[in-house]
Amino acid sequence: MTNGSLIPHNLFEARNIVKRIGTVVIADGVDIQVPAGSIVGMIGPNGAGKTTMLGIFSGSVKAQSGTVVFQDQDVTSLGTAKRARLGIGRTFQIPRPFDKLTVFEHALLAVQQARKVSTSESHERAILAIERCGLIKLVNTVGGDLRLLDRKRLEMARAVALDPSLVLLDEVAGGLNNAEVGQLIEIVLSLRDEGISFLWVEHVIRALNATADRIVCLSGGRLIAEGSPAEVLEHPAVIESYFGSPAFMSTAS
Amino acid sequence: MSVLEAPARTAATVNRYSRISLGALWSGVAVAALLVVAPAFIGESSINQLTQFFSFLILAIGWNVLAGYGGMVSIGQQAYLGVASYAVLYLSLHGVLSWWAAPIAIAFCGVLSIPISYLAFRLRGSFFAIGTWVIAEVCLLVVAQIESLGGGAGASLNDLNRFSPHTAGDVTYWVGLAIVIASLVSVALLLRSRVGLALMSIRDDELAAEATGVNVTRIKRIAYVLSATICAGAGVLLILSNLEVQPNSSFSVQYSAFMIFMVLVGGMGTFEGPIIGAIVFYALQQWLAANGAWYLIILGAVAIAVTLWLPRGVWGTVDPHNRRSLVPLRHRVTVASHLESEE
Repeated sequence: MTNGSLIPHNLFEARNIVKRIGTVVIADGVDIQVPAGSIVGMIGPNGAGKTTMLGIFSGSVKAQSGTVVFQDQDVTSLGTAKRARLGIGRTFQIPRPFDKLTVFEHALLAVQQARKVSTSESHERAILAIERCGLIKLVNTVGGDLRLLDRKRLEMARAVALDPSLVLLDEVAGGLNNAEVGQLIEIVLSLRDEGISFLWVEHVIRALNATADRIVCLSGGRLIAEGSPAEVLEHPAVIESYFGSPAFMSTAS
Repeated sequence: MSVLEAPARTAATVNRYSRISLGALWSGVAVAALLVVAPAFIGESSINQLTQFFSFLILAIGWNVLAGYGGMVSIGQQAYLGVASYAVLYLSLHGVLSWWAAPIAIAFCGVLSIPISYLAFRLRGSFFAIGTWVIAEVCLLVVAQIESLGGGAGASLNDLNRFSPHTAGDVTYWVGLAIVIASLVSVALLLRSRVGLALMSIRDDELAAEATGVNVTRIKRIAYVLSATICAGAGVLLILSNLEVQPNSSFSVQYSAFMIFMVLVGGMGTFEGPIIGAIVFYALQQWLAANGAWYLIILGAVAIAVTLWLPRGVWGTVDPHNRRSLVPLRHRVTVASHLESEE
């Protein structure tokens, strides 16, 4: 880090993002920061536009206005592929494996796109990414043959193989059982320890509770709450947007 | 230090040649060698039939690169077929021996496809398909205006008349064989390269490829140019064997129907598919040629049947996950077991 001050250096910043699809307001001046080395969770009720926001951050969706800054560079006008090569990896909510490519080839593709390295080094890097995401035993299996947990791991491995500074995770814990979520949490924490930051959209609150340094809640085009997991999850506005009125909560529990 | 610079816990070696692909490679070399010496053993009409077969095979290989791997369904590749035929005619009228004109015409089409790709790539999906057809029709209309090339009536290629039909047939056969081998080798080399891995990722999921850093437009353009170059090879071969050209037949959309048929039947997006498809197509054509309209009806019935019951085509059904690929495209990783067990 170059700045020695106590203010954490922001690896990624989205400033004043405005996005409407038809009459639906996804974002009405949203600001989000991901400090280097941190995990930021994003929650929000269904249909709030979390996946669309990740699209804006990764470059696949255009916002009406706003700025996206990554590593002090304005990347607003860059497409997905360019942002990926700069170091923004992403995973898809519904995994999108390459059906006929092996796990190794998925990682190798990412390594080759990210930088020019020798053949043997590219192989080593691909193996490392696969190893980190716990897929080494399936290294020769094609994407189309993987079960759900392994597809999610493959999404991670493909993003990690880009050697990214930031990975945008879109509901990687969705559809997994408790033990599997536990494994996923471990992978994310170990990658964070090795220097990758995460912006993680997730409905499985337990996963964010165990990993996130900060959580933001998107609802109705605004961040209605922001802070530590405990603060946000107990925030009245968050509870209301998820469960209705607090009165309903008390009777339900 | 980044994540990917840490020492790996796993020792792995990567092997690209499987026993199947090595066997196929040597069988391929043997078949090619047999085909090279074939004119010494088989008759003139068989040689001419093989030349015809080669032109269909080349078309199938070319269309598969574009639609099978690049996901770009074109119904206008006959543009390059026609332009290449006419380029050979033009060069022969200007004193270049037709056989020598062949590589020049092919290269010309490759270069021509670059600016055309900028036009065609403005369209997507079915609009792209129709756009390519329009481009082919424009090429037809332009060529038909050139009186020195015979205008709408067409022209014949006369400079090979000074050779005996037998010699001319053999040399054209060898030119065709060379184009087939060059097409197959260039597609195999492309697919083995970094560009090839990117192209196969686009074939499987374009959006995911983009998120993995693939410059989709650039990779597709490479596929488009290679496809145009290969289809030009078929155009060259057609004029060399028919010794005449006519705009309406050289630029006929029927060639697109044949290309689609061969690639769908054989298996889209596989290396082996177009070869199988071309053999099936040519066999059907020979078998049914005498039956007039029935030929096209049965061809259509076969296409419908394959789409319904073998949607992946013949090779795609035999090898759905591309595991038994006859060309060494894959990366087979061997993980050292003593290291793996430590986990």
